[in-house]
Amino acid sequence: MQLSWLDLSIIIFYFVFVLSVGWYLKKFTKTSKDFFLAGRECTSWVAGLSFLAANMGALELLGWSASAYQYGIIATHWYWIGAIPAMLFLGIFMMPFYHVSRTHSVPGFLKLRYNEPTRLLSAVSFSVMTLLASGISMYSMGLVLATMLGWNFNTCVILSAGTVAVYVAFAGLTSAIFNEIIQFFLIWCGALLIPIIGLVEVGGWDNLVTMVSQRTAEMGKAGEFMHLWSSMGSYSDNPMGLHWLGIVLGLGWVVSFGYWTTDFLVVQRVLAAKDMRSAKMAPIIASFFKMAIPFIVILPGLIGIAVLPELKPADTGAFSLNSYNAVLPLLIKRYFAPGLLGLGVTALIAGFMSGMAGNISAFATVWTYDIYRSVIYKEGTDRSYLNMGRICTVVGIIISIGSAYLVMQFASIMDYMQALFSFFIAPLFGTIFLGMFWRKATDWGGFWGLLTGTCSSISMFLLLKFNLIEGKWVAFSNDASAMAQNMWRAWWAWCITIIITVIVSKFGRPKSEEQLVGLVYGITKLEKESSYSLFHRPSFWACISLVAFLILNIIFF
Amino acid sequence: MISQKRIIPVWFFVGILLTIYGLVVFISGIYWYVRPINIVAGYLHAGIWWGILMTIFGLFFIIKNVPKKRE
Repeated sequence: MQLSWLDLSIIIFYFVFVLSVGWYLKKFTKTSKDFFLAGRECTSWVAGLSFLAANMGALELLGWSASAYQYGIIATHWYWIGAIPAMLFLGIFMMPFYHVSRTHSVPGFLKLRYNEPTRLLSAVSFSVMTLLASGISMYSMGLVLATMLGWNFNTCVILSAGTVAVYVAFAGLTSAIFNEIIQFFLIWCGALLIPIIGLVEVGGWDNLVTMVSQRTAEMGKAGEFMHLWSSMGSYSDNPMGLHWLGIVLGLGWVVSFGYWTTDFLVVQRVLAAKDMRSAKMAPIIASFFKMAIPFIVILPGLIGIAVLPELKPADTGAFSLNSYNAVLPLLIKRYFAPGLLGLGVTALIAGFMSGMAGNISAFATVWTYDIYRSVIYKEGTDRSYLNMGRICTVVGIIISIGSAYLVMQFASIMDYMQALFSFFIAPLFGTIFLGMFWRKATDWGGFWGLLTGTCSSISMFLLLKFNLIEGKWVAFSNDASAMAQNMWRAWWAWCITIIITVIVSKFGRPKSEEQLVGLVYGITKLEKESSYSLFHRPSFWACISLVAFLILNIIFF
Repeated sequence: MISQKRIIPVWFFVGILLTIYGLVVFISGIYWYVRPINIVAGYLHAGIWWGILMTIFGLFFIIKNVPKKRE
C-alpha cells in the first residue's frame, strides 16, 4: 500500500500534535500525584473514555476483526458479556472502595487490605507483564506498518516508542489520558466509515447474513457464524469450540471481572476521577461505548468474509496481507481514497501508541509507588518520586523495545502472553473480591490464596500444554477448544483462590474494623445516591446500560 | 484535570484535531470527486460528507471549550 504525500502529512501532523500536547501539559505536572494520578481531578467523561481507550488499542482492533473473520459474530462476546457486566460491577460496587481508600494502584489496595508480600507479588507480576505487553504492541505495530506500507521495522518501532516516551515523560498520566481520548475519537473517525461503506457494498445486513453463510459453506467452515448464543449448546456447533457455560462462568464472570476490575492499566484511569460520583460514572459511561465497538471491529470482520473470502490463517506472530489479521487494513485500502486513507492509517498508529502509553504510565506508577518507594527508597521526597516516574518511563520504553526484539526472535511468545495474563488475572480478582466483600479475610489468607491460585493456573496450563491430562478434566469435554480450556482454567483458578483464602483465614486473625474502614463492604460508610436526582445517579445509568446489553444479546441471539 | 480553571480541557484539543482532519478529508474528497479514483463504492464520495461531519463535530468541541470562556 503506497501512501501519498497527503496521507504522510496527516500522519506526521499527528506525531507533532501529540508531542505538542505533552509539552503543553508539562507545566501543570509538578507533583507525583499530578504525574501518576493526573491530580485526581478527572471528570467522569474524561476518566470514562480514557478507561475504555486504554483497552482499545490497534492490536485489539486488528486482532478482533481477524477473530470475527475466523469465527463469526461469536467474537462479540468479548465486548458484551465479556465486558459490560464487569464494567457496571466495577462502577457500582468496587469503585467506592478504590476511591475511598485513596489508593494509588491496585497493588496499593492489596497492601492496605492484606499485607506487603501480597502487594509485592501483584506489583512484580504486573510490572513484568506490562512491559512485555508494551513490547508485543511495539513489535506488532512495526510488523503491521512494515508489511502494509513497506516502512522500515526499526524506524517504526523507535519513532513511535520515542514519541510515547517523550510525551508520557513530560506529563505522566495526564498526557497519556489526553492522548488516549484523542486516539479514541481518531479511531471512531477512521474506523466507523468502514462498516457503513461495507454494508452499502453488500446490500445491507440481511444480504450480509446470506453472503456470510454462503461463503463459510464454500470455505468448508463448520458451525454457525451469525448467531451469538443459539450455537453455544455444544462445543462442535460453533466455530470457536465453546460452550455457553464456559462463556458465562469463564469469560463473563472470572476473566472479564478479573480484567476490568483489577487490571491496573484500566483501573488507573478511574482512580484519577475527581470525586465519588465521577469514579462510579466513569466505567458506566465507558460501557455504552464498549457495547458499540463491535460495530467498528466485528462487523468489518464479517464484511471481510463476504467481500474478501480469500484470506488465510497466519502463523503466530506473523502478519501478511493475505491473512485474517489484515482484514481491517485491507478494507481501509478497499474503501478509502487518499486523505481518508491517511486518517485510517493514523487511527491505527494512534491505537498502537496509545496502548504503549497506557502500559508505560501504569508501569511507572506501580514501579515507583509499589516497588521503589515501598521497598528500595522509603524516605524520598515527592520530587524524587516524580523524577523516578520520568526516569522509569524512559527506562520502561527501552526495556519494551528490547522485548519487542525478543518477540521478533520468538514469535510464539505472543501465544504465551495470553496465557501469562490469565495466570494472574483470575486469582487477583478472587483476592480483591474477597478482600472487598468479606471482612474476615486475613492478610496471609489473601497472600496464600493469590499465590496458590496463580500456581494452580500455571500448573493446569502446563498439564494441558504437554498433554499430561486430557482436556475433559478442566473443560468437561475433550472437544473443548484451547480458548474454552483457558476460560475453564480461569474459573478453577478463581475457585482455588477463594477456597484457599477462606481456609487460611480461618486459622488467622482478621484485621480490626478500624483498620478495614474504607476497604470492606459493610464497614465503610459510602455516599448515598439518594442525594442526586434520578438522571444523575450512577445506578440509574447502570440499569440503562444493562438493559441495552440484554436487548443486544436478544437481537443477535 | 490538575486545575480545571487553568488547564485547557482535552475536548478543545479533540476539536482542533477533528476540525483540521475534517477539512483535509473534505477537501481531498472534493478533489477525488473532480478526478475520480478507482476504489470500491467510490460513487458514495465518502470523503466529502465524512469530512463535513468531522469538521462540524470538531467545531462543536472547540466552541464549547474555548479557553477564554472558561476563565
